[in-house]
Formats: sequence, structure tokens, C-alpha cells
Amino acid sequence: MTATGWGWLFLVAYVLMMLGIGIVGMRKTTDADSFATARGAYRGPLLALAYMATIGSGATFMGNSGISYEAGFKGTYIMLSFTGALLGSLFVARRLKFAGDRMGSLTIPDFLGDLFRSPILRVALGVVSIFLIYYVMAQLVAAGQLFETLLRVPYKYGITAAMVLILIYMVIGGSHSDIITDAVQGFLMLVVAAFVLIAFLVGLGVDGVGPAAVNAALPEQQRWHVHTDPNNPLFANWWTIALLFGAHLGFVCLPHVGNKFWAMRGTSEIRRFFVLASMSGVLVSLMTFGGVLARAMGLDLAAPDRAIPGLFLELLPGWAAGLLLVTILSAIVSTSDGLMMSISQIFANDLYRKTWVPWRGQDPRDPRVDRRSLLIGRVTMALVGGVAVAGVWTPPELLSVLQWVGIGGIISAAAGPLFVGLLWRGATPIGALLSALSGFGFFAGLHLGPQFGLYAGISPWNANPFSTAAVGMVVSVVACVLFSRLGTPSSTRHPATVSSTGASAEHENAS
Amino acid sequence: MTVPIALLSMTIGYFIVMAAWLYREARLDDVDITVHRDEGRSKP
Repeated sequence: MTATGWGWLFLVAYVLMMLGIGIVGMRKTTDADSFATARGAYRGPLLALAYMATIGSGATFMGNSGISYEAGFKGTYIMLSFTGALLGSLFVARRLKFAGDRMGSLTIPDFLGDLFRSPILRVALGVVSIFLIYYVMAQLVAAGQLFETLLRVPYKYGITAAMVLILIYMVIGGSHSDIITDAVQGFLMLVVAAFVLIAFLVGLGVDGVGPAAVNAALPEQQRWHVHTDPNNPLFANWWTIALLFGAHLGFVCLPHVGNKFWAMRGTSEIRRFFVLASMSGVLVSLMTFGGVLARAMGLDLAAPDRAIPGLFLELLPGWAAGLLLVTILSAIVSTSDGLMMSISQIFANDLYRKTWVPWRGQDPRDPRVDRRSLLIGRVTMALVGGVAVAGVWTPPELLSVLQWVGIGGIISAAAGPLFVGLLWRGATPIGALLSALSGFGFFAGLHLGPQFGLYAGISPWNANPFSTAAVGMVVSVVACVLFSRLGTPSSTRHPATVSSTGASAEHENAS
Repeated sequence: MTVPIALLSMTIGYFIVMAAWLYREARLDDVDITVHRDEGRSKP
């Protein structure tokens, strides 16, 4: 059987499995809270795989390997994105989990609005989060190209099919479907990453054995003793590499990432969660060495992003290429579904239930409001899916820039309120609001302005979203500390206090 | 130092920080705060 035939076979099995999980998710969904967060439903190890898959996205297989295919060994510094994202999550996970559960928050903007008792902060961050739809679009483009390359399906049919699949299991099963499918997808990603790592360590496809043989087969400037390249904005110097890591510390601020902790059964699961998420995250991030191997093998690719598919087609029989198709599709889908859930909850919860309903003088905890919120979440998700497909029917030229309005914007704006608010009792609502404005303003001025062609900007900030987001994050954190002197903390008893006595007191209150 | 060695050192550094942070938090709080799903609130 050909690679295309195997691809179809694996695809059908994958789709059936996702739909089955959708039905399981539907049975577990009882109200708006379980639809949006699957609160307290899963153990650490399962969530660890789901978390890794959510962070992973299509970039792990395509974009990152394409970077190392073009830049050689120095390009593998992109794997710092995983350890950065995990380290940032580590510092706030326990408090985020505890305080979010306690306040019943459904999204990160909602959580920060609750933490600081600031509806303005909730709405402002919610509006920036809507730009994450461009992140969904970028994932869809990758799915369309994948269908075209490996299954010979026209691009437009490919993006439609991917979105229909996501919508079916997400609309019926919500966050339960999101988390279970992500965990399965995370497992598939581990299998492929293990193969790529072994191929690199053995030196498959190059003369000689081992990584040294891979290194010897590369052009001089791509070998492993070259760490930086002044002509490459991502790896121009050690600062840009450090900031690449730094920007990802703030990934926990992204609504589809940070909300995963609320699905965890209890805070004691956090230890197991981080051990497994770290091991699996590091293994999956090592896939970027596949790009180096593809370059060393001399693969002639139509685009750098096709390094891993090219490697599979070159080194393995047809069935493996079919497995790869499903795995990359998994990575794309597992990020897109979480994003769509978060965007839909911005409308259903942040804007409707927590803003519109109280503004109209109604009770947000009214069961009728809950039912309406659940309905809005489902309808909005379908609408977001439709808009995303329409948006990339002909991919916009500025898609990658627009995508960074959401990612970099949220990281720059929310990092101060989230990190400072959770780790320091002195953070105040005015400090949080001004820090969000400072961080976002800094990111927009230094990166988005030049990218939209408004002015030239300063190199490498104008071309490197990671560096700018990282510095925007630092600005946001510093601003939150400084501006917090202007106000008073929203509560004398910090909601994120995690101690034996605090927990006991909460238990007494609950009973 | 080569790129893979630098990455390996950074990864080991990450695991050391992770272990230290988790150990610190475990000492701060030995209570398992599980979620009271019916009420959407927390309890030990």
C-alpha cells in the first residue's frame, strides 16, 4: 500500500476515535463550568500529556523543524520554547489552580478579572484574546498544507475537513473532549518524536554513525559549534536566544494553556503533572533535531516546514508516513480545539455572564444564565470555526503577524497581573490594569507597528516576536509592581493563599 | 561548547529548578486541595 493509502487508513481510524471521545465528553458535560473547564475531572498524568500537546501545536512538527532545517544546529535552540513554557507554568500552577477553583473562573481573563475584582481588566484581556483566532487560522493553514502534501486533497477541502472534525467533538463535548483528545494526541506525538530522536542519534541517512556524522554532513555555518547568526533575527545573539526562552515563560497566560490546571483533580496532582509534562515536553521538543538531520541528508524540500514529512517519506515505509500524517494533524487539532474553546468562553463567560449580566442587574449564578452561557459557548465555537475557515480560504499575507497580536499581546499584557498577582500580595487592581496597558503598548509599539508597515522599527525587535514579547512581559511585571503602589490590594486575604490553615478555613466556609 | 551540550545543560538546569520548586511547595503545603465539583469550590 502507498503512503497515501496508509494515510487515509490512519485518518479514518483517527477520526472515529475523536468522534468517540466527543461522545464521552458530551456525557460528562453537565453545565457551563464543566463545558468550559472540566473542573477537577482529571489526574495529573493525563493532563500532562494534554498540556504538552496543547503547547506543542503544528509548529513542533513543521515550523520548528523548518527553522533548524534552515539554520542547522543553532536552530535547535527553538526547543527552549518548551522548557520556557513549562517553567513559567511551574511558578504559578498551584496558586492558579487553587484560586481559580475557589473563584470559579473559566478563562484566564476571567481569572484576572476575579483576582483583581476588575471588570475592565477582564474585558480588556478578553478582547485581546479574541485575536487568538488568527492562531487558529495559522493552524488550519498547516492542516490544509498537510492534507495537500500527504493525501493529495485540495487545500480548501483539507481546512474544511479539519475544522468540521474539531467542531463536532468540541461542540458536543467541550473541555472534556478537548482534554481527552489532547492526551491521545500527545501520546501520538511522543511516538513520532521518539523515532525522530533515534534517527538523529543513529545518524540515519548520512555517511557514518551518530550525531557527529550528522554534524560533519552539514555546511560549516550550520554545525554545532556555531551558536548564533547575526543575519538570523531569531538567533542573532545570545540575548535573542535568552529572550526566546523568556517569551515562553508567559505561555501560561494564554487562555487555552492556563485553563488546563482547573481540570486537575487536586493540587497534589501537580507534582506528577510536572514530572510527566517535563519529560514528555522535552522529548517532543527534541523533534527539532529532525530538521538538522533532514538538512544533513541533503533532502531537497519544497518548503523548510516539510523537513519532518520529508524525513519520514525518505527513511520509512508507507505506513509510517500515514502515521505521521495523523500525528501532525493531532498536534494541529489539539492546539486549535483549546484555542476555540477559550475564544468561545470569552464571549459566553467573560463578556456575557461576567460583564453583560451583572451590568443588567441580573445574577450571574442564575441557572438560566448558566444554560444560556452554555448555549452561547457552543454557538460561538461554531461561528469561530466558520470565521477561521473563511479567513484562510485564501491565506492572508499578514497571518503570522496577526497571530502574534493575540499570542504576544496576551503574554505582554497578562504576565504582570498573573505572575505578580499570584506571587505577591501587594498587587493592586490599578497596578494590574496599568501593567497590562504598559506591556501590550510596549509589544505593539516595538513589534506590531513595524510588522504592519507603519514604521521601520528597531532590529531585531521589529522582526523577532519572541524577543519583543519577552521584554513586553518584563515591562508588564515591573509595571505591575511599580503601579501597585498607587492603589490598595483588592482583598486583605489573598485568594491564592495556599496553606494548610488557609485550605482548612476554606473548607469550613464551604461546609 | 556545542549546541547540543548547551541545550543538555539548560535542560538539566530546568529539571533542577523544577525539583527544587516542587519540593518547596510540598513543604509549604501538605494538604491536598481537591475540587468540590458540585459547588465549583475547593476543599481539602
